[in-house]
Amino acid sequence: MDFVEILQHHILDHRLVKLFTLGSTPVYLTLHGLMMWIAGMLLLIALLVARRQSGIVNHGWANFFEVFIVYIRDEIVRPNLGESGDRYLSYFLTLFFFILICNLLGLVPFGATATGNISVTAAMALTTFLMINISGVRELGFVHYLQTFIPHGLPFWLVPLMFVIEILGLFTKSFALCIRLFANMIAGHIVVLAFLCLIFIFKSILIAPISVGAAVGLGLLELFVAFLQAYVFTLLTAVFVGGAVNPQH
Amino acid sequence: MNLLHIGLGYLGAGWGAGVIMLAAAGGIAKLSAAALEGTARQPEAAGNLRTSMLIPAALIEGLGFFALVICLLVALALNGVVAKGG
Repeated sequence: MDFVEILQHHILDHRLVKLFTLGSTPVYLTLHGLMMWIAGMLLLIALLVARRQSGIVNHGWANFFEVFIVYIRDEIVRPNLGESGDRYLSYFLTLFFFILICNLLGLVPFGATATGNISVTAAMALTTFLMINISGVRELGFVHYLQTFIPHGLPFWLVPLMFVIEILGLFTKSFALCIRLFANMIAGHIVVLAFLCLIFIFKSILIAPISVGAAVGLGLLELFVAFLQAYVFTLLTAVFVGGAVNPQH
Repeated sequence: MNLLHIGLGYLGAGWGAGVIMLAAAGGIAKLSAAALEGTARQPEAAGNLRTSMLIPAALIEGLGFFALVICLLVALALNGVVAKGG
């Protein structure tokens, strides 16, 4: 068993079953797709139960979700989007919980990290990109939204350059969101696998306490990083959407 | 057969990753030092300072991961060159 083979087996996506054919391309259900479905179903069940247990006084699961929901509303959405930002609250809550559960599913046995696939994070960065632009155009109107790309108080000969740089910045922000989440999730798994493969490279059981200890420690770090990266993705999306909806003059 | 160019390529990828680590860790360390000092001076501002620290820390870490992914791509491309036969 090669280290590269072990990495490929644990980190890359695998096709499980063929679903249907779209024109001439077959569409497969892959491992990461299955993990995303499981995350969606878990969230659906847990949130339906929480909704039934909620009310004037929350019981059980509603209490648990209320911590996260109130934190996202009061610390992430309202400071960046203002009081009228409650319209976008459902998008941010969905984003946060989906990324969180996908990250955490990579830490249980027989689970894989769906957000460790660059296609998944690229799709989420694409939805954030669309969110930023659509909300900006809806709030400000198309022409006025384009005018926000020109910073205030510039000499006129700098305006074309700054406009291009700001447009590039728009793409860079979404690309950075994609890469940040993907690399954080993948790096943890690669390092844990590298430590565990040390046992097979050295072909001795004596390295096992160090390897397993390091794997446990890194697993705890990965748990922290899972929560932190979900929070950071949601926070940065809120900051960017807030910057597009009410730009500072 | 002189494989110097391939060796230098791998060296570049490895050292690049190390320099990225230095730069990212240095930047985030400066940031958290400032946040700690501010919290020590005024403990009521701890929550605000923590939030203001996390955003730049995430952005700097994002940049670090950019460059790390580039180093990984360089190493994988060199793997392909080696497998094809120098």
